[in-house]
Amino acid sequence: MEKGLDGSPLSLLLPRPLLVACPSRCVKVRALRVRETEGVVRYGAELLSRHARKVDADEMWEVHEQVAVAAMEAGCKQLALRLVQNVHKRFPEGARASRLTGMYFEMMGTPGEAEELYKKELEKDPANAIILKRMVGLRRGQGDLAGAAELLKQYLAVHTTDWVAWEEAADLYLHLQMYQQAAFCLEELLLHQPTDVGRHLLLADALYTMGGAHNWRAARTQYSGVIEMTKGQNLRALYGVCACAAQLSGVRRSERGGGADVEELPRLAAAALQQQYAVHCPDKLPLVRSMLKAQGLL
Amino acid sequence: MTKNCSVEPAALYKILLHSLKHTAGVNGVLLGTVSVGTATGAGPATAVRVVDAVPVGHGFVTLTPVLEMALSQIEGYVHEQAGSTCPLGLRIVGYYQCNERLGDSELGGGRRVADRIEAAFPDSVAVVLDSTVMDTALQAAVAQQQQDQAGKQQVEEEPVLALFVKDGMRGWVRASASDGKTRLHCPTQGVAAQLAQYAAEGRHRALVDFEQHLDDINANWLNTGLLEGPA
Repeated sequence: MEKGLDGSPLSLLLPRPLLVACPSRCVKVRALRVRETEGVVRYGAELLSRHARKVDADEMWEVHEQVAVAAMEAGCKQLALRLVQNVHKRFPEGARASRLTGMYFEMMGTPGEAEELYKKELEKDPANAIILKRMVGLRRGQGDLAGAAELLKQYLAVHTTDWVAWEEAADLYLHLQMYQQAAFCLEELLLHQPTDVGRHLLLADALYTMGGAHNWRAARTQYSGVIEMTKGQNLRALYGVCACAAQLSGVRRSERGGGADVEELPRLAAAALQQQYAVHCPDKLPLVRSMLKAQGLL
Repeated sequence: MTKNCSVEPAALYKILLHSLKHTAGVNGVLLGTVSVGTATGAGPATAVRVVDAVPVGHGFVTLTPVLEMALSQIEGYVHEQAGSTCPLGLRIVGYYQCNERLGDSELGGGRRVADRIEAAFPDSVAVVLDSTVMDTALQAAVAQQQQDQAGKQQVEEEPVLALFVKDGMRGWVRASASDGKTRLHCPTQGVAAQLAQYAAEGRHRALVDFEQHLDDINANWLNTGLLEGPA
């Protein structure tokens, strides 16, 4: 068996890597904050065991950490242990290494040991952001989403520009079905990055899910904003506008809001949807048309 | 009223491959048939046969837009099939969900979704992946493979799905082996090994859910031919 791809269950699932591991891929995945667990474990393990010379010294420990976290997500216990031990040997005193060791304990089902480690670090430095955030992760890992959200709220009261934390808060609130709070977090994120299409869509989805004329109107505004930003190419936004129109058609005219152009919008969106399907995916066009018909847009 | 639910391999493997593909929670819609008969001495019995699974979303099972769009089009697909030259007689029969956290096999936020599906499609069921059971089965399969016992008698595994049925005022209730009123029949032989095989062939990467289709119109959420033939 390949070194690094040992007897953990995932090794059954992973064929031997065919390509030479690509250091830049790990960097790209990190920069985009994409969750590509399988890829990171596979290429990262190969990279570290066989091509360590190709990795820059300053990158080496970042990669170790990244692959260790992915290995823990994937449940590759032996790989994770080896990496965590290497990091701990290199940084016996660091908070970041402590966090990694704690995460290993969490994965192995001994969250009490993890919590002790984190508390020790917080005694040394009560404002350590990495550890404070890891406490949130610990709660979440134990299934205590409400506790995690509360801790994160306290953290964000102090660290108001930690955008990763705001994103995590939105995520937690959405899982908790606390849509108002999620919307608040997403709005903060959008103030900071107004052209983030994904977040506009997530906010729109949350507003739509909350329901009621006011929220459907707000969702419609978000979806139509995305249509403008993407020049009508974004399918989710087109679908979203149609869905809002269908919901609002059941509502009194006076509460529907907007003028003649807003009335026109769902018809335009429906036409754009049909156009896209006719060109790119004609076999699904009848299904889209039947959906639009049910929404009263055909 | 007894309820028997059987899950065909094709549906099961699509659910499992969907859960493998995304580290976040996933959900989808079940297709199949429902028939009402009489169980001996126990009054009417409903038999729900789950034949196929349509993967819908990954990320937030608690948001409704994607699921609504998907449901509408899946309904359209079912009608289309009914009118075709060899109709399979399929209808929407339920909802499936796989949670993000190992050890969480509850419906949780998915209850609302399951409610909506059951309201529109009576007698619908809900199934949730029991990831602890799946994990154990995968470990056992690895151990078996390492001891070079592949092909020898396969270990009887626990079902990897937990069944929930709507029970009037009580809402969604988890079916248990002891209550006698609800039964789940689900493949249990060699599931882990078969799943590992499919995953080695990259079929979990090839699987498409409706949400992915929204980002890439060419991605086929019907997953035609996903489990057939060589990868």
